Amino acid sequence: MKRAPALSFLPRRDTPPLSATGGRRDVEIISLAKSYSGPLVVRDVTFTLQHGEFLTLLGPSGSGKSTTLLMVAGFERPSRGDIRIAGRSIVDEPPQRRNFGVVFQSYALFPHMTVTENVEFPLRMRGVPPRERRARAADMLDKVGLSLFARRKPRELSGGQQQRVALARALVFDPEALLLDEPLGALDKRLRESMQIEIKSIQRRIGVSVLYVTHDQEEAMVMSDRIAVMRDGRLLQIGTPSDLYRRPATPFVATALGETNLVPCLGVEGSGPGRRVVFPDGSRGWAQHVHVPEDGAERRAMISVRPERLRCLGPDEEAENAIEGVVKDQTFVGSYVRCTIEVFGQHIIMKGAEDGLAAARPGQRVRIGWRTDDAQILYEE
Amino acid sequence: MGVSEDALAAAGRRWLPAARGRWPFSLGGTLLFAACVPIFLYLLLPTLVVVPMAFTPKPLLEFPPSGVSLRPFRDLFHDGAWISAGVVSLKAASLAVVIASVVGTMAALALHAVRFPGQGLLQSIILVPIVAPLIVLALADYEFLLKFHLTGTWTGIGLSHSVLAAPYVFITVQASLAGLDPALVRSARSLGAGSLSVFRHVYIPALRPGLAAGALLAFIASFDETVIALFQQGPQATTLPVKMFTDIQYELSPKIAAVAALLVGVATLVFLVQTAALVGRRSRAHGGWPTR
Repeated sequence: MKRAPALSFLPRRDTPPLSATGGRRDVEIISLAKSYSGPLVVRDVTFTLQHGEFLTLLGPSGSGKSTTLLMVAGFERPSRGDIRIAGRSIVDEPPQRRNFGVVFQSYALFPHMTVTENVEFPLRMRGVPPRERRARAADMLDKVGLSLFARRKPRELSGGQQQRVALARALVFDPEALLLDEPLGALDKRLRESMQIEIKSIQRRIGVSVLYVTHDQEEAMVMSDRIAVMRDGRLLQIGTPSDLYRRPATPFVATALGETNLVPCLGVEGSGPGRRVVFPDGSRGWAQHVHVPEDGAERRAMISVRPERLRCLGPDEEAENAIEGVVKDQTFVGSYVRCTIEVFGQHIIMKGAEDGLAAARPGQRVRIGWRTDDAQILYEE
Repeated sequence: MGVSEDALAAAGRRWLPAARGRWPFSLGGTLLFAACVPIFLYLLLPTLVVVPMAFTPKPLLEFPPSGVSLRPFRDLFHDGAWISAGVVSLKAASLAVVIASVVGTMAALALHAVRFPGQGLLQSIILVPIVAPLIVLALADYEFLLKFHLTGTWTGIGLSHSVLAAPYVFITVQASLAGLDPALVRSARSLGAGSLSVFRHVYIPALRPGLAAGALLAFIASFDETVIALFQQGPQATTLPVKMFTDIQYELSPKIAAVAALLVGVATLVFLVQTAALVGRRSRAHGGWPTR
């Protein structure tokens, strides 16, 4: 690719690299930590953004997810740890040389430039000749469906359209990865849902790796190949959405993704993946024991069972596990019925088809059952 | 672009609801309007009273004028002393605007998006020329410039005025930068922009409206200033306000009223142009479908 001739009397332009391998290399985040002259806001976070994958950092505000993204982008310097692309460390590179496409919640489009000029900007910074950059910008605007708006100014577009321009601008230079920091936070619910699908389909078509930051669990579930759940600066668990949903490692992860019932246990017996638990009334049940805490500290145990995995048992029906409780409330939601049942002095939620829960009328004593595979033994953090 | 009569009629209906009759305002609105009129007169009359005085046919200032004539203006433009006073004022103001713009903008940029102890104090120091007694500043400038043999020159007046004008640019540019989205800077950098490119493509466009407003204020601050200019006046360095001040002590020439009327006219014109530009920008911003 031809570059503009260098003018030797000017300060050297920090021209970013024109990556030919954008999105086809892994980004490794190794033991990353950050503190602003105080407690650590990110502690020992390690994961690999695999090429072509959509990885979401999910967590509440203050969990360190945005700070992690800002460190990858180069706007914050890690206190410890390393970030590597294809084995080469990039922590000493300024943001303009890292070749990541970053999109913020506020869109951050240049207000005085047209849509096309905005999308051409990263190519202009890389010294791409005007003819080629116009063609590439037009091509990318076509991909995000904004060709008709090429000559508009950002303020003449809707929020969703502006966000698509920001996406096109972040993608046009074939970045190593796309870093999205709560990009849909400013949009209303309906638009957010359609943008989720749109971003996902653009990502699939282009094949770029995406590191996505959000606090919205549904958004994370819909879009991600893998989700990394963060809390208090720590990465608690990373895995596919169904992994995390079926086999959460901690009570926090279990409640961060969907609804769950946490039933306290007095003790855990046995060894191996399937173990016996003792409930507060002395009865016993079976549950999966997958995630063993690393330190040997004594922690209170509980089991997690999803509401839709509980069943209302008939009088003589056999089940792998069963407990008894009193129905407090039943709500018809439409596609399912939701019951609140009091067990061991706490409320348990059960969801299911209307006919399966016919016996669970308020005030009735019922037996509820579940399969051993659907119950997880978790330990308090 | 023509406005159709229908559109006008529609607008009229909106403002003049038929049920209310002809008078569009409520009793409270009418009283408020009545209360405002004397205040507007109080604010404007002293300035406007000079305008009719400028059109007198007599060789002496008089009010009310005994006729209408352009003679004071003709005399004014044939008087070399007045013309050169105008030129000196323009030169001094231009120098002040250039220096104040550079200094004020740099100060605002330096203090933008950083926090450090003593920042508030530093900002107050930058604003001192606005609140400091003008006479003290004038005396200090005079003493200082005397050493460099710059008193009695338009350069000296321009330099002194730039000190007075820089805070205005600082304030307006700072206000412009306050509205700048920090994500814009980060975006630009992640897209490959180095410091120079960020300055050119993010900061310059953001501070441009503030700089324009600040430069205008700086120009007015210098063009209008009398005390400093009086201290530093000389045969080659008499500004318009100084000439007006000194002349009125010797002769009551209507030329002074003519100059004043011209200044009022120019100020009104500048104000109208600026308002029109602002309204235009607003309607473009909210106009929806743009025309190419």
